[in-house]
Amino acid sequence: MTRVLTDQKAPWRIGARRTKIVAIGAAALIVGGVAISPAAFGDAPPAKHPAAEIHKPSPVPDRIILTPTTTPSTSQRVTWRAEAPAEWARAEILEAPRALGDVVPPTGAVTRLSALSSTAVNTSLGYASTYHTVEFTGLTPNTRYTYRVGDGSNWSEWIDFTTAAVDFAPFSFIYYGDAQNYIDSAVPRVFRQAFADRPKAKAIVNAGDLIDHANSEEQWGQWYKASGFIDGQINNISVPGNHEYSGGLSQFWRPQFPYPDNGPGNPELKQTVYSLDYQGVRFIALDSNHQSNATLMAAQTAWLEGVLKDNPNKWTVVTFHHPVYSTTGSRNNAQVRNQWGPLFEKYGVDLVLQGHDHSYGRGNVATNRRSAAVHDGTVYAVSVSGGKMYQLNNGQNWTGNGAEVTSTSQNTQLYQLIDVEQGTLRYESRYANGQHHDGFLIRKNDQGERTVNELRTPQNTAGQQVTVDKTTVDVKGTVAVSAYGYDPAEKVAVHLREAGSTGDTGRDEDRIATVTADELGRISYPLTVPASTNAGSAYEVFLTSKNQKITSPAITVTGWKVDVQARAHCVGTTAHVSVTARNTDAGPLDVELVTPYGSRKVSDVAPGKSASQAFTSRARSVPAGTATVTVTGTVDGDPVTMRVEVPFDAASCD
Amino acid sequence: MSTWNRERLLAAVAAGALLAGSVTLASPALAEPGTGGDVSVTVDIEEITEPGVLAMSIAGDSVALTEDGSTLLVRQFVGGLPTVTVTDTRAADEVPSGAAWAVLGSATDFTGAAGQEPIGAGHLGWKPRLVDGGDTGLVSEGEEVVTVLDEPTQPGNNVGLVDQELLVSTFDSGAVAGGAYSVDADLFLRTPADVAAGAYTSTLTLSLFE
Repeated sequence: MTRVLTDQKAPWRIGARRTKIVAIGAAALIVGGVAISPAAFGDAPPAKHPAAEIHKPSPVPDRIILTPTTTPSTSQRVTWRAEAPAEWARAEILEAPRALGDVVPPTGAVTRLSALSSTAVNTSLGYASTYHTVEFTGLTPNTRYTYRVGDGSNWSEWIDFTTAAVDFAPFSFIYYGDAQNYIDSAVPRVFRQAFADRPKAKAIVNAGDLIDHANSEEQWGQWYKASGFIDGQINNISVPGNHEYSGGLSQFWRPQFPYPDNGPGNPELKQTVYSLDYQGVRFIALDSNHQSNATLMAAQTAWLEGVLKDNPNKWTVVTFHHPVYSTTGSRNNAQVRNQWGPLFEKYGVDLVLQGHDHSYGRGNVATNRRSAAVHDGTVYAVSVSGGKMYQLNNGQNWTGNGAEVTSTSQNTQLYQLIDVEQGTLRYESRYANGQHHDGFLIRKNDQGERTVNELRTPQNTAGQQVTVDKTTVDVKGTVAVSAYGYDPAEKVAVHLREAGSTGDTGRDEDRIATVTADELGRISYPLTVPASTNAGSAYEVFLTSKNQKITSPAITVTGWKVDVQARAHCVGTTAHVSVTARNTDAGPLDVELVTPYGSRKVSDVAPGKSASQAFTSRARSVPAGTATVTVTGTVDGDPVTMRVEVPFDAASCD
Repeated sequence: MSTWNRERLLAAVAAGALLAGSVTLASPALAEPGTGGDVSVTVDIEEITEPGVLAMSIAGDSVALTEDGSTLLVRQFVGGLPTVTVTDTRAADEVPSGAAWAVLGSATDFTGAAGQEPIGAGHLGWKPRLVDGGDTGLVSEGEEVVTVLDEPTQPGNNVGLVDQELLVSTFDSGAVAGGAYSVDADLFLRTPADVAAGAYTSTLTLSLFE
């Protein structure tokens, strides 16, 4: 090539082969251009593929989804759609084998069940979608199973799930706010990223508005496609939003979501209001679409109190659609807030997971705040997974109703990951692209006491995070110090240092004590101000530990009461500096007056009396400077000293 | 700042054996009112309020220093400054705001009676002592001044009574007006051991300022 490029004498003749190569390249470019230039093939764009074609049912199962029973350690429901006669709809299940395909399960290993129900939903697309449900029972707890659904001739793929443990066991679940819009374009990546982050999640909680039009076959079809195979292996815990209602509950709801029928008993609330316990977590689903129906609200409220009062589980999660504290516009769900809010707080509900506002907000009742990064109340979350966005309203519905919103976001699609452990519940909200948005860690002890800790950041593990019960204290008096946000059993060094000190290493000479955080990450310590403290000065409590370097507000240590003055002045032609300290305290004080020109101690200055001294500079002038007055008295027999600095102006005696 | 009065005091010393000295105090002459007349003329005159005054007096006019505490290297002659009293008859409201009085002292070199080399004033030091400062704590004696032969006991105070050293002062004239305050001082002359013997005299001038 180099030779060709440098040969300028006969470019056309010897460049023939090169020309051919260039021509091929140009052809490739033309092909590429076609894709962005449809006019090259004619004027009519391709037709939109009809929804009825995309979503029409066949005998091959689709829309396969797990819904939990009230005994998830021994039973499991699975629902699917297929054009299959009810009497042929069935499922097969076996303990998850090491292989299938060429490897045929041994005789008797596979259990075959007929469908519990088959319900045809007539759709607007001119066909019926028939949903079949099978309930696997008699399962072994905490065991992995493999199942398939079909009609005996047409089967789904084999799909695995694991039954719940009988008692508490750590697990994760996922929570979504409204999908609702852009279900076939913007939503799928959210669902898939959440699954990528928690592939072993045991449940997916949907806080309503899964779709936009309650009875849209197209949108339900899109919703299932968005999640793909995931719904077949993870239990779904959904509640209806307002968009699942259109002249009544969506015709699709109960056929698709055969939830436990253990709600208040009103027919309207069947399988929209329910509860179930899963490995130490009580999930409670409520239907907030009935706020204008006093009967259905009262029924839910009474039922709610019942399932909260009699609850052996360590953790409690409640989900419904309309937020207790709205994040957008002038929305205000007073019935939800007034009827259910107090019960959540009273019975220590951990998470309230909501939707409806197409934005993100997370907060708590303001009086539950214990420190800048910790509260001990219920967490209220509003989120959105879909692509329709509303603007935040500056938290007015939170602050206007005694709550505070800690984290907000708008114009973001989010998913939430909740990891349940014996002593902790960790919640994290992430954007559609997998980046972190918000998070906190709930710690709870066996007595049900709780701290809700912001996830640690460089900001919330430094600065003024320590609480003190007073900001003025006498020497040898006691300040109640408390702080939060530690790991359980974290060692915390308690220092008392001059207010405004910098540096994040505690000095040994400031150290008062070392304390150990409790199982909720709290410390509390009654700090007695040492006699060696400089009375009259401002101090701060400085707590250092592995995870935090935090301070209290300034604490003024009560000083001896003295009126102190200093001045430079001329006597004759000599500049003097005079200092006086008048004892306005109740007992005698020893006073030392110190200047650059000399110092003077005066013992036992009686109340109302002064110590004063003029110091000659032996010069015609003195520059501005500082006199230091040291005042010492006794507190319970111990000497307590206060140092006061008094500036004086320059004086010239020429 | 004005000087209210100034008094002098002679300090004399005879190095060697005896020491004799005298302090002379020059007091202003007092005039006696006259009397006489046959005609009785009466008049009622309102009593007027005499303005108060701030004044200083010294209870003696000389002091003789006697040898005491000499060492192989330094000879020391000591004596006591006669009591100095500052009397302020002013009412508090007559005192300018922020005023503060002070008594300063400066000594001349000791001159020899027989033509010996003078002993510099830097060899004379004092340690003022408050005799009666009232009970406010606002009147205090000046700091000790040591001699050029000493190490300083306060910053730069080993200069002797060369120039305006502080005997007594108040932080606030107004707060101590209407009282009398007295102070005396230990005087000490420290000379090298080889100082020439003989009688010497110095004049210590005390000035009251406000």
